[in-house]
Amino acid sequence: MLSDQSGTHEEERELILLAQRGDRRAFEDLVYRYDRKVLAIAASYTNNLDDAKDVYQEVFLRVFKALPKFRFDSRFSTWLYRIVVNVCLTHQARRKSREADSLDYIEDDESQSLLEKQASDERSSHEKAYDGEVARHIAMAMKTLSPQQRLVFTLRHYEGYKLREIAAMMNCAEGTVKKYLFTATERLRDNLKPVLA
Amino acid sequence: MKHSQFKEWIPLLGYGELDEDEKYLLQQHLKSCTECTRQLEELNQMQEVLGRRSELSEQVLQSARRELRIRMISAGERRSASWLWSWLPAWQNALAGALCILLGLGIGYLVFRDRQAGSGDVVTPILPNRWASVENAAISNVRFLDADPSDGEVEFSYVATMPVRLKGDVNDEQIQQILSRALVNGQNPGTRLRAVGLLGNDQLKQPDPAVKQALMIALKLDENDGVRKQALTALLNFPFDADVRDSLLYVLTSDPNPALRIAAIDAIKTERSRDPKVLRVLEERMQTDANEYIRVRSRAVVEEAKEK
Repeated sequence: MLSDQSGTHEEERELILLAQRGDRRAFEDLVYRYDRKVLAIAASYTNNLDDAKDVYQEVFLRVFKALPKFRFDSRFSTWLYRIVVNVCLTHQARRKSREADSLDYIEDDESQSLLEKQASDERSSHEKAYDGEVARHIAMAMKTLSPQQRLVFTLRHYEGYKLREIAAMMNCAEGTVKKYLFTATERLRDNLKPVLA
Repeated sequence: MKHSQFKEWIPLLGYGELDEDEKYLLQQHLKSCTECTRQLEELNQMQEVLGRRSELSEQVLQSARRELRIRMISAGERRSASWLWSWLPAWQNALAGALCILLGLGIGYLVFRDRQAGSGDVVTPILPNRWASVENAAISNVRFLDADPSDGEVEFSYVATMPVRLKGDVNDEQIQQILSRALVNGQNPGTRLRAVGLLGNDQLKQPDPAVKQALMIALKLDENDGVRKQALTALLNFPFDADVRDSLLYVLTSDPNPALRIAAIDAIKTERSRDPKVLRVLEERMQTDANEYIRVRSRAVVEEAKEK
């Protein structure tokens, strides 16, 4: 799945070489092969569209800056998703520092999360109230997870990546990823008991 | 095998991450362990409550791409600058700085020499005398190179920002380049509209390559619908090459405004629509565009192109 949008390796290699020589169009083509997935991961992880777009921008700006140093030691997709993982894991810290800089920043609890928005977009008014409540519980429960646990959980549950793929993205052992998934599901189960039937 | 190990396997069972042997062992354990059975039931309920995230809309993706393009342009400019400096050893930076100052003085000399000779189209004198910049310009970034007045002299550099009035032929390279910069960098949408209007003017017979580049950037990135529309019209004055074609196809696939997408179809119909890349995009649009008129229009252009 890590390379599902890459097309042929030769074609991708050609694009990378062109982009490394400063061909802006080749870089864009390269970005467009993966950016839908990257944005989806960012949205699942942050549960907020603005934050997801921030992660997206940060990922591809890092790729843009670091691409000249890419030496084909690994597959491009592996290299890219490692950047995605790093940006996601450091996103919270960057967000806090930005919040500290902005007096006008709306507190997270007051703004509508992606889950809440989804709930209110799709249902009748009666269902919306219940779904909104559930979405709030889920958003709060997700906040109790560490960045690593949250990332593993969203990649597995929402994005459907296999644990071995997640381990490759995070550059760690599959056993470590299993531990994160176990702890994440345990915490979520505990925190979501009030809304479980 | 320990109960705690089976407990850790329960989420893995739910996500299909156990091999056949592990699955068998866990199922045997579940037959005799009420705690693990309850945990599995709760986990299943939890998965149902959590659901699956819906697909992100195309609009969100396009908006993210648009923002990325804007940020990449400035990142690209910074990267070019840092690349240049990274090639210079530290001791050569000072030398390079000195060369820049000398270059600036040389340009200044040439400008003043020409002005004194009465040639050129610059109506307002840029610097009537060596102190005018201090009187009329906004001064910033002052850096002292020699702040010791003991020898009677001091030396410093600064950035002087001052209004300049320029009058000249619309086909003049300098005029076109300044208007192109105004179109890409102008903060005020009104200014950008005026700039793009001038760049698309019929009087412009010999457009500079910078004009085409600026029009393509504005067409893809400008936030103002009017500027994008004018940029599209102006771009049609250029030969229909791969750059122009790709810019129009970008509008057709990515612009949020249906009127712009329709204008892009109008621009690529007739013989241009026989280009295989154009045909592919039109065929995709006639299936997926959110706007019904665009779907119909795309289909009509495709059918017309195939008949010819």
